[in-house]
Amino acid sequence: MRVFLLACLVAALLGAGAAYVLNDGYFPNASSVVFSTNGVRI
Amino acid sequence: MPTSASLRVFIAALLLGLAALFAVSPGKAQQPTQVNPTAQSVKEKELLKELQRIQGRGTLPDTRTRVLEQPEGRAWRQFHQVTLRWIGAVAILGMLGLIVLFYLIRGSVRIEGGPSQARLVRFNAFERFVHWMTAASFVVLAISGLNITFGKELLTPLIGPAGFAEWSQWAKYAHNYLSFPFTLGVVLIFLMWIAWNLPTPSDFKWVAQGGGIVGSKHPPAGRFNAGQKAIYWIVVLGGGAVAVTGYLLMLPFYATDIAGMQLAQMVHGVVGLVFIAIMLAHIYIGTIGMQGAFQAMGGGEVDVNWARQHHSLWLEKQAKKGRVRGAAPAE
Repeated sequence: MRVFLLACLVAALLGAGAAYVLNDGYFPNASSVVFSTNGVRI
Repeated sequence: MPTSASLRVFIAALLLGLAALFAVSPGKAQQPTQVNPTAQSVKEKELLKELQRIQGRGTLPDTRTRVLEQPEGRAWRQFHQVTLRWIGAVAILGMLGLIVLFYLIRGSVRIEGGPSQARLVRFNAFERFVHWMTAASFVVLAISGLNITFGKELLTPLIGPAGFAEWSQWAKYAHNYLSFPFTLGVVLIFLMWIAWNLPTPSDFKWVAQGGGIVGSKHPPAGRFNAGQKAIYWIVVLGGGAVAVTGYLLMLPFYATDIAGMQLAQMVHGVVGLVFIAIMLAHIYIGTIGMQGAFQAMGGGEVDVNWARQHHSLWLEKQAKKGRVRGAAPAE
């Protein structure tokens, strides 16, 4: 059970970390490199 | 003649006044008299029919946004709105039906002779951690992915358009970002279990005897039997496919064009839905379908009788290494 909870926690942290990094320090919002076309922010 | 001159001035002023009135009238002066919007749309339809695409000028820096319609787009729309839903519904509902049928006919696979007091470690803490990290991510990815294909029709009547929009936005974020722990998990699964998942001669015997699931014989198997090896390769190859195609879609235009992204979405959708269907079978056999199976990934240890029944070759090696704990003998 502890291993399962730890795995869920790490998955959530990795997901949140990816969101933070890919959005240049912000959590998901519309102004990011992810939500862009051709690298130009929209 | 003064009277005549005054009359001419009056008429001229009247005409000028009328002209000015018509000039500012919003009725006829500003509207073309021959506008027919329907005729215009017919022209566009004919244009599209002949040219197969509608594109024009735009203000966004990316010129690719200026293509509004193209034949591939309509074929893709037909695929993801109709064909993909059929594939998903048949795969998932079909698998659920098979599982229920199988359970009714075969029932849960019991440990012959019942559980013993002897146990041995099947998965260490790191293996279980990787499995559950991947599994937890997969469940969220599956639910949020199914929402993309089926959510609009199934959930909107229940929670309304605003509720569906709010839920879908968060589901999309979860789908995007939990792809990272999932992908990491797939890579780790590939690396840590490859040594036990290469084909061996015993796999063919195992398949020939129905794996002990179909029928009553329990063919010998190593740490992983042929069925588990199939699951392993489905996870590695299927997981790899959804990861690659998913990142192509998450980062639009970085590595491919519209046609490439449409193909990526098609592969992502089909592999994802079949993946979900197969994982339902994996979850079934790992829980209610087989007595003693969940303990392997739950607490990490399995009963010796379970190991002898399902993984006799693996048990022999483990027993020789002295890794069986408890009262009952390994043989």
